Amino acid sequence: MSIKTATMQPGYSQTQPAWVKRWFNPEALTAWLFLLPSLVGFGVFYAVPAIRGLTVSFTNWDMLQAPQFVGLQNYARLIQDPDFWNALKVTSLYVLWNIPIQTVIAILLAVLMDRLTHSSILRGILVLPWLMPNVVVALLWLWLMDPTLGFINVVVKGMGFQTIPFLGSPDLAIPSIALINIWRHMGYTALLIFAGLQTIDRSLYEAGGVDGASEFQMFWGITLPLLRPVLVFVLVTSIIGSFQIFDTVAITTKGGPVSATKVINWLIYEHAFVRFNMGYATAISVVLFLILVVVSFIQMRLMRAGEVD
Amino acid sequence: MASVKYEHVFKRYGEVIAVNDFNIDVADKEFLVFVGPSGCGKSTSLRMLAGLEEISEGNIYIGDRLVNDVAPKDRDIAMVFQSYALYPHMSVYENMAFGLKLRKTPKAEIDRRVKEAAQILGIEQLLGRKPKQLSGGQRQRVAVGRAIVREPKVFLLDEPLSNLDAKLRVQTRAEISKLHLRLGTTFIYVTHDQTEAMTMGTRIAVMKDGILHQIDTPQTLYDRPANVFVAGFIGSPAMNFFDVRLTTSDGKLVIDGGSFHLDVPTDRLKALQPYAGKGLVLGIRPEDLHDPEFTPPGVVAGHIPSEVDVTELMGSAVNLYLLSGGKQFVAIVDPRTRARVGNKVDIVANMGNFHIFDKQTEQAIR
Amino acid sequence: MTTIAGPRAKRPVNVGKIGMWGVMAVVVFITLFPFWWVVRTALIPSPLTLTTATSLLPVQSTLDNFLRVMGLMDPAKAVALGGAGQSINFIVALRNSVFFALAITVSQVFFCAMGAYAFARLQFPLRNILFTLYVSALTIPGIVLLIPNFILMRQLGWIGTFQGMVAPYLLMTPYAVFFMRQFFLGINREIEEAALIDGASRFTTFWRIILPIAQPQVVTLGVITFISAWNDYLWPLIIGGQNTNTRVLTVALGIFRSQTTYGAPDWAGLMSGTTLAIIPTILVFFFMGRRLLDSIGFSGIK
Repeated sequence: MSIKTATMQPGYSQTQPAWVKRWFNPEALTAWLFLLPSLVGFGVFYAVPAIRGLTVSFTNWDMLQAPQFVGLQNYARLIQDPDFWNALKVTSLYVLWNIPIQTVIAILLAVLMDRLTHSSILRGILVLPWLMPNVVVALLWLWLMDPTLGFINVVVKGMGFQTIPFLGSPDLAIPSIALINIWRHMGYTALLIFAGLQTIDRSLYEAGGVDGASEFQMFWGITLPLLRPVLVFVLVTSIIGSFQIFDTVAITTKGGPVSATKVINWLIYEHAFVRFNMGYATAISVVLFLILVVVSFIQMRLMRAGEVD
Repeated sequence: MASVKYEHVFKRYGEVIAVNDFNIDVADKEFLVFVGPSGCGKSTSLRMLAGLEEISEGNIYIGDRLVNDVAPKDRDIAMVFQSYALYPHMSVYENMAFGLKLRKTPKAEIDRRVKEAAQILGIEQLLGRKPKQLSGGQRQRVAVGRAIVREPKVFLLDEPLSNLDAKLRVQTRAEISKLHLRLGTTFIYVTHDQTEAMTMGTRIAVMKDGILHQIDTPQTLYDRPANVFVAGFIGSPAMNFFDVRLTTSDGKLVIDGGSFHLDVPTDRLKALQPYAGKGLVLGIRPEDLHDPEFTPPGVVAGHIPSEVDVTELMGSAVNLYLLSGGKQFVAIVDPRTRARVGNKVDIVANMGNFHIFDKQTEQAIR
Repeated sequence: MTTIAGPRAKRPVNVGKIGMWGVMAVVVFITLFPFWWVVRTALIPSPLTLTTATSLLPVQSTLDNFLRVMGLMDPAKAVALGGAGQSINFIVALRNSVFFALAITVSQVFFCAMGAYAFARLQFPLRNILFTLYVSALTIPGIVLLIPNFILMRQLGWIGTFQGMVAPYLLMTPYAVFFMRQFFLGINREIEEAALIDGASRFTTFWRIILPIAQPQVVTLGVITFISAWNDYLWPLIIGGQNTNTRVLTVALGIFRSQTTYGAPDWAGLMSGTTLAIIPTILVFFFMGRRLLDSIGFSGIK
């Protein structure tokens, strides 16, 4: 049958003007009632703050005196701020350490799971780290990575090697944080990819096998291309999430040692809630937003560019 | 009084007119069927009556009451949906009782009605089960039961048999007809299946593209279709149509089909005379075409020379697919026929039962 | 499991399979070991932490550390055992987390379901624009909204209050609305029409028909929401961190960690707190894990 409207209420009285009928007919009224809570929530905690974030970034508000309009001063300042560029550098480094390794491990895990067993117990175990609060994961690894008493170093020393400073070393801090996050996310990401694997028609592999393709060839030729949409989704969301790392840093290194882990969100946090430079902090967050938009855009383009089928 | 009246009812979706100037008077206790191909507006018309669709223009009355702005629940109707629409999380009993509970009917009364309806439909033992534990046929009964307990003024049924297998469909058809007689309520039934329409309805409304083509008793629709569409829609296998010309020859009126000529019987002369010389459409039902060897007595015979293309042995009859002058048509003949593929047969046309339609307007000429 | 047709010897495949299982075992070990290590450390008496760094099993297990961090131990004794002196009461923090997560879960799921139903089934002006707006809110990084929301709480005087903490989450989350709407769209319309004819109002239909039908999805969303709220750190920190009565578990852990005594951190205490934080998540997962696992496939691939 043809187009069915969702209209359930019969014709409204003919006496009202058209706009009243459109906005306040019984069905629309019911809709507004249903929507009211989420509308209020959206307006007050999403829409207004979004705009406000922007407007505050044009002020030099410190929460004590009234905010003063300073135009683009905050943005000019951040362009010249070595802290900002360091934060960008550090965060990008983190993303570069985190995402490739995590994604590769996740893909391998997903393929392994697919071949060996679909047991939900196994899947449950793998997703456990992701279920834990970031704070808990950070503490776990803080303890494991402790230079003196941490299990890893105890083993390392026992084998005769030097202590690995992990989070205490400016060079190793970011990779260590990346390690922590890889540990947290690899299972979950693997499950996402695993779900994607299930959508691939098995008969493709059988055909490949008959054609004489090796496991490896089939992986490159069949699995990966067909996983593209899933991988795009996974990559885009992981990268966006990765850029916004905070909790782990807050628990383990708090930006140190020597600004080695002063990621963007930490910088913003410091300015907003330690120094109360609301204007500057919101300016940085706006820039972060723009960066993420650009990053996602570039990513989507790159992903599309290689499209085969 | 549970009559239903559609008065100049329209339904528009933007530019599209789904129901076009619908006028029907349904009498109390009638079993009226809306039938037609997909997209003809039958379901939409039903839903407007139910209050599930807004009426673009026009009026609908239930009894003496104008119901245009009345909410579905206040129209005193009950509906059986094509997908049955049972509440999956409720038991059969609760499904049937739901409407009554909402109206704050006393518990004892609910119980009585539900049990009674269940008994009529033979589903008493299913009352405790959930829909997913039921077969298609059982679910359908529950859907009907849910409608019965409401004791509505009008019963609306939207293609309730579509999801059943063929055998069950035939069985349920009879049961619905019996139910109608037993309840004595007005039934309005929508289907795309002309067999259902013909077997169940007291009157049938044939629709196409939003327009009501004809509303009549089944027999009348069969005997006197108002136009080509109705003629071709009602009856199975469908009526055969030929492009013909009405000519005069020796002072007699003749239907000239190119490869055949049929004399117009005297009782039709008066109506057809004005069309002499014109191109028309001739309609003859397959059951009105006979094997010349086994023509029933009393048939006023015309002849159509043809060749047999395909034969289908049906057991009680034989379907002959014939070619005459390049035109294919179907005849249902006596099973004793000796016609075989390739044979030339002079098919007998029952000239007491033919139909002529205007070529442009497609209306019947009587 | 995938079957690969084609010529191959039996043995090489078995070796390959064993290898794969080996890798998987290593992964499982890496995944689970840290949890064990935490619990083990929490069970070892605090003074022995230094000396037992190598033992895989707890030595002289005791629940003292737990009692200490839950504020159930005599303060003097607690300090003697390595406590930092300030009492970070994890029982209270646990309670706060429970309230926080529960309040948000119940409220958000309900209101978002209502909103989602309106989007899925009702006709009203601006419907599509509004929905697009809702969904686009998903793209905004958390921190961009965080600061203005903090300012708002400040202006309302809600810093350090429970309502300040839950406010932004109580009414809606774009994800929740999106999630439920997708599902509602898939429900057979005729069921709602039947309810209408039966005499149900829109709200009754929603409450007594739609929600029960959507129960699995509602529960799944509830679990996801609960876990998300439970794990939240930054917002509860800036709003409720100062006040013991509004300090949630994650924040409490963070503060505990910051309170290093002269010398080594109170690892035993820290790990006990961490264990306490792990247990509820494991419980939720134990009972609701299946739903969670199934939803990961669905929501991940749109």
